[in-house]
Amino acid sequence: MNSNTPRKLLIDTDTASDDAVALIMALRSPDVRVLAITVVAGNVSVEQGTQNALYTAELCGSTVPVFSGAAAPLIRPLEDAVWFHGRDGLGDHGYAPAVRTATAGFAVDAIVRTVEANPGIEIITLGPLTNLALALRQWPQLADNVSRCVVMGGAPCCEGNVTPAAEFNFWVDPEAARVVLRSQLPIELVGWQLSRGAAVVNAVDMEEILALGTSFARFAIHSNSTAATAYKEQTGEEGIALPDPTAMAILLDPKLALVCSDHYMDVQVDSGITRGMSVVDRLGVAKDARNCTVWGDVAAKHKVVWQMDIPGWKRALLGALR
Amino acid sequence: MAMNVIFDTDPSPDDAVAFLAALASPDDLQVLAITTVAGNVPLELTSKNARKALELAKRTDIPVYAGAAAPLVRPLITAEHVHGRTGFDGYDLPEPEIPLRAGFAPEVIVELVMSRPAQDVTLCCLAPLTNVALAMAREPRLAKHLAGIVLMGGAMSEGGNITAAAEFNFYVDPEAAARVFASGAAITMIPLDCTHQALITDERLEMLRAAGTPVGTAFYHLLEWNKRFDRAKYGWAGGPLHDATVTAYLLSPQLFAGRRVRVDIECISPLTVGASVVDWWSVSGKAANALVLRSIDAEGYFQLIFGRLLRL
Repeated sequence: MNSNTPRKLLIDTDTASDDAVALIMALRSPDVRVLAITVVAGNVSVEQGTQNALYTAELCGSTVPVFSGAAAPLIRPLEDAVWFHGRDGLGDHGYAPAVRTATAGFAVDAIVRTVEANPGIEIITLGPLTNLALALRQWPQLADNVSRCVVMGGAPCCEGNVTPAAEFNFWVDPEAARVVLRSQLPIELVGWQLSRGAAVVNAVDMEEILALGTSFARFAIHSNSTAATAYKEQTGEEGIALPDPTAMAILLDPKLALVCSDHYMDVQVDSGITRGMSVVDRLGVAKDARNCTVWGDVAAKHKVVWQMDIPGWKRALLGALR
Repeated sequence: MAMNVIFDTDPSPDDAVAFLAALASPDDLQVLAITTVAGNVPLELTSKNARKALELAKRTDIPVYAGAAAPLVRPLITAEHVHGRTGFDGYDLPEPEIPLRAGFAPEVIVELVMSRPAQDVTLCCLAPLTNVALAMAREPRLAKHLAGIVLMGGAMSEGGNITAAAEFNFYVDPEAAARVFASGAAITMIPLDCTHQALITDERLEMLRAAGTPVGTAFYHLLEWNKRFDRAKYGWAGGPLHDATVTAYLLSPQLFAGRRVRVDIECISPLTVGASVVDWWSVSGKAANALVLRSIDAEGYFQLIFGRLLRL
């Protein structure tokens, strides 16, 4: 395969405002061909997430099939984030519903079928990992047929965003996150913290984006209006933090991941203060046999992205919205 | 009007008695399908054993679908130490000729249930509840659309049989059990407290041997072998015939007594994972979610179940 052939991609998402921007980046990128969008319950209900994905695809003139998936986490009731993204997940601007409807069939079946038909496909997850965990249970060999799995989730060696210990995607369905992290999928973990600080789309960035004058640019900023308010309340920072788009930027251009390394990792699945906490063995203490009993049966090492090329990320975002 | 049922199972002979007795009761039960799951032994073997049992009973018309090869979240734990390497040790049955049907069992369960009117199909669960939890994940309306779930699992005051705290089916997949008990489905739970009262004594085994039928002879040997472990472990007159209580409850509920209470499944503590916490005295204030059967007319049970088995 030469470098001009678009790479095949499956996107699993709980389409709220930052997911939508990530979808735009992928759907408008000449470097990837999105074979399917599978929707999971998370930020919003799976019904709303499906509507939002269809709307975003339509905005991009894409006919990519959109499948509805798990309506709730593996064993817990759904706790959504409409308080952060707006009731419709897109800032409550009353966007008209898409004309197209979701493709029939359960998203998990679509994931299995799509990977089976396209060995070597890349996957990116932008929401709770429920669909992917169910797919792994349905087809144990799934992991062997995926060449790359970028997971937007977790808070590696840092504070959480929804609780002090946990990032939202892992917090919503810790059991699913555990299933995925203990699998043999080739995971690159993009934690929420990579979208903070200098990576936040600040007032200057927002002006630059809006100056592009495209429908994509307007949608990207306005759909994140509620998220911007919530982010300011949470962190005191001005601007919009866009974790899902940073993960997509890294998927599209791996060179943006400046510092990465491989580590054992696991997720806390109880329901106390560390529910959904991502525990990353940064110093590699798990390989010491004396620590085995603490680590139990953690199966695999995965790549963690510690540092991102921030100017590169912002250029990629601008380019996608042009 | 026969009740529509689906058996979800990980056959060992115990499981097979349950669904074969159902097949021998066409006036009462219509078996739509058998779905297999990993549990007593790995999925490949449970799927094979189900078909061996059906061929022995000459009921190759019943479709068998394979389901989950591993629990929802945890790695699989099996019980070869109880059931033998094949899960069906004790009597040589030929390799099955009938194939598994195409389709992933959780998907098939959803299809069979949702294509029928509400409250039409009962799930008979004899194994870890992985397939049922996966079916519920695919179809949020499944729990309420079922007539009910009758399951063998859990232990209340009896103590666990695989760990000190837990019965095997719930221990193998506690998360799936937790999902099922939180689903709102109409659940009847038959724990060890009930099944440990139903022992396969030599006298009862003799019923099977004396009948001389192919099914009777096969199960005489299979159950005799299968119960060696239990006799040695418990020091009882025989091992419990756990799973057929599910069928017996559907055929003759008056053989049982129990109470509607709240049941929760422990998923976190390594010491008590898989434990069924049964609020027998309703002290928790939480809404009841299951009918827990605590006592059984053992003699009536064996007369019924072995009687049906010997009709095959």
